Amino acid sequence: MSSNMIMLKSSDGASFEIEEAAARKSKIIANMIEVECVDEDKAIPLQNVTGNILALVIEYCNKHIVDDDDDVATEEASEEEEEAKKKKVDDWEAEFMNSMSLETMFELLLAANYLNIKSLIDLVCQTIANNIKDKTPEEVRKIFSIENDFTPEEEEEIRKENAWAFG
Amino acid sequence: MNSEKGDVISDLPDALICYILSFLPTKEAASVLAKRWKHLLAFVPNLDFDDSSYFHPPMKWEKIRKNSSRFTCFVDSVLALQATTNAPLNRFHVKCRKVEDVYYVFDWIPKVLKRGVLDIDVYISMGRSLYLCHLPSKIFVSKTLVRLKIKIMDGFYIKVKVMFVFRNLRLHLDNFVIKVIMFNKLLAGCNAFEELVLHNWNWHSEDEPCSVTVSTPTNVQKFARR
Repeated sequence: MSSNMIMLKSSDGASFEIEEAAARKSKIIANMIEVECVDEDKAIPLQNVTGNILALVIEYCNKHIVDDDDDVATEEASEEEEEAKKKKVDDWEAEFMNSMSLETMFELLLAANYLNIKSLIDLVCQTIANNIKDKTPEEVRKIFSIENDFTPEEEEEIRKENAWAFG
Repeated sequence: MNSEKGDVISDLPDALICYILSFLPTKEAASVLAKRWKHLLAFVPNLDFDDSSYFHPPMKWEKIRKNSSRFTCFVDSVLALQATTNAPLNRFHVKCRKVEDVYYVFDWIPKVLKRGVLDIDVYISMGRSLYLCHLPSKIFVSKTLVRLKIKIMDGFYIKVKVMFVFRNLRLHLDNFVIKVIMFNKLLAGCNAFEELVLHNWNWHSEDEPCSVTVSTPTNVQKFARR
């Protein structure tokens, strides 16, 4: 594992030090490293990510870099070990997502999208989807503060159009 | 969970909202929350259909038939809606407990293959026209398909017409009828599979009883039979 450290700078000027291996979870940063546009003494500016969100992204990357290394090192691990390890990661992820507000979750999703961290995008989208699942449109609107911009007539029209969707 | 500020989810780009919707059963993803959401379903990259909610609470046979056809109409409409876009499709999963005619389901497979689907998973627990249903031969020539899993409780018929051109396909077939000659063809193409799992098959009734020798190449991770 490379122990190179690189610096990231958030849109509000906060600097973070992160291991290169962890930072490579972001395809954007990995590409920057590949084309050698990362200057060791200079922080990479991330203009679309605030400090508090970047801290969460880094926490996630640090946690997962360890797991990726384990995958390589313990190829012959037994199924039970694999399962136990997966459960540990799942538990950590559940706890991680539980600790933040819905608004933070959306900001984290935008940051993960901007930095191109596929597994984090998946995790956040799955968590948001779990909040929508099995709820009526009205309940979902309430949770996400979505303004219903249909007139009652339009809504009735859509309800009819979508009748096939609601068995 | 409550948000203090305004409409947070609507600040996301369409692509991300579609991606969130792709983690939901397609039926739920199809519900329209506001004007902007109306067209998003056309771009949802993972489709996941399940007809179980159509048959609760227990109902009479006529109602079951009616709801079964509502379900197939729903899948048809979503596929038709998506076909109007060039949006990529990754996953197509269908679970049917009571499908009027298995033919409908098999008819969806070439449609999603045309869209470049990567992962198909079909489960049917009850339906008609089974022996008329051939596994679409297009699955053997798809350049995009990585995983295909088909399980039909009442069995289905497999006809292998073409030579395999793919690599990396993980093929799982469960409960099927096959002619010995087709079975040999399937095995001859074994190298083309990353994983081949065959469960519960019967020989076609036209075949005389005969012995079949099975040898598995090393790259086929699993090979199971009844």
